[in-house]
Amino acid sequence: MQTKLAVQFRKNRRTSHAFERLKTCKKCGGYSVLFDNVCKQCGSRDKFIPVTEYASAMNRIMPWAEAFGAIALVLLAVASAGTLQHLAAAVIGGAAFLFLFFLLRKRYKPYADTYRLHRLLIDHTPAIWRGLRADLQEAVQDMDAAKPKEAYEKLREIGHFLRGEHVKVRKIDCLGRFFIRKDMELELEEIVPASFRQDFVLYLWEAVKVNKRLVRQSVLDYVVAYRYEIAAMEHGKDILTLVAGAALRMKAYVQRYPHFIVDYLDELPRERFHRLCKLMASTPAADRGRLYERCKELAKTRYGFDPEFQGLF
Amino acid sequence: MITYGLLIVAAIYLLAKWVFYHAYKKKALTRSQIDSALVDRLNMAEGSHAD
Repeated sequence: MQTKLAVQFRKNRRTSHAFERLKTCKKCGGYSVLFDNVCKQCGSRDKFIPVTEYASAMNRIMPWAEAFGAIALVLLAVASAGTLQHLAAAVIGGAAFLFLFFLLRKRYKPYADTYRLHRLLIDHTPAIWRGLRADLQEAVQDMDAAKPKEAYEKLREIGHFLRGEHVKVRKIDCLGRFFIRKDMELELEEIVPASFRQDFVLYLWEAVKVNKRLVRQSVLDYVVAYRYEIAAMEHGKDILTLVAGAALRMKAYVQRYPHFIVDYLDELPRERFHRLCKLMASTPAADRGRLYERCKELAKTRYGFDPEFQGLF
Repeated sequence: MITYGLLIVAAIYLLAKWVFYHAYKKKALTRSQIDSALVDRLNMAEGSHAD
């Protein structure tokens, strides 16, 4: 058995969108999402700029180029005027053209900027993908070099873009090497694998113990789908009870997974069971099912003496 | 005549510009949609190169 490591992860950057994490090399156009400032493709140092900054620069340059073109066209029309009538037509027509041109540009600027960003990301997708593959390779090398913390921090960044099984499995592998603490910024929903994996379930157990908020719908779907495999594991029942208890965090989960929760009612801690009873008590009569009946029965037999349970049903 | 020709070119350019801008507005994507589209393209590329 491998020794677990006590680690402190690098602070996770907060961005509204994943593409804001991308940085591009000004020299070779390579991409990366990692933290170092050396381009893996051309070896340049400190040449990275965020892709959003690059897009903003494009959004500044392109309109200027267009404006110069428009002004040049008007000046050419004025210069080519042979008579006074032509000159007047060129000046009036040119002024009207420039006025409408700048008005149009001002009015549609937000749409044009967004479109340019979209086009930029479409055109650069192959380069971004190559950059991410190179970053992934680096993370794999860290794993091979027994540096799971560094590998995980890299995989966490890459995972914002590449969501395949190979990335998830490597993340699970790394996370399994750490002591899980409450102050850690943990992920669970993002690494739910496509098939049953004991190492994922063990990590899930550790993670949910310190943070119940990690249990969301995809996690519950996974646990419900593989509940018999989990039950067969050592501490399987504890894991399932913990997840069932965490599912009580939201009424929507109780309504969605009543058949799962009802099987672990007997094992739920008092505080969790009390929360469930409160949720059940507020359920309209038409929606009450087996879970409601079992809660009512258990509240009566086990907590009949407890004042907090009095009058709930 | 060249002056008029250039002014006609300017008018056509303006019209084309308006058509393009209008098209951008019509299919305007939010930044979240741009982000999801990028992630989808990358994962498709990843899937097709899976070893």
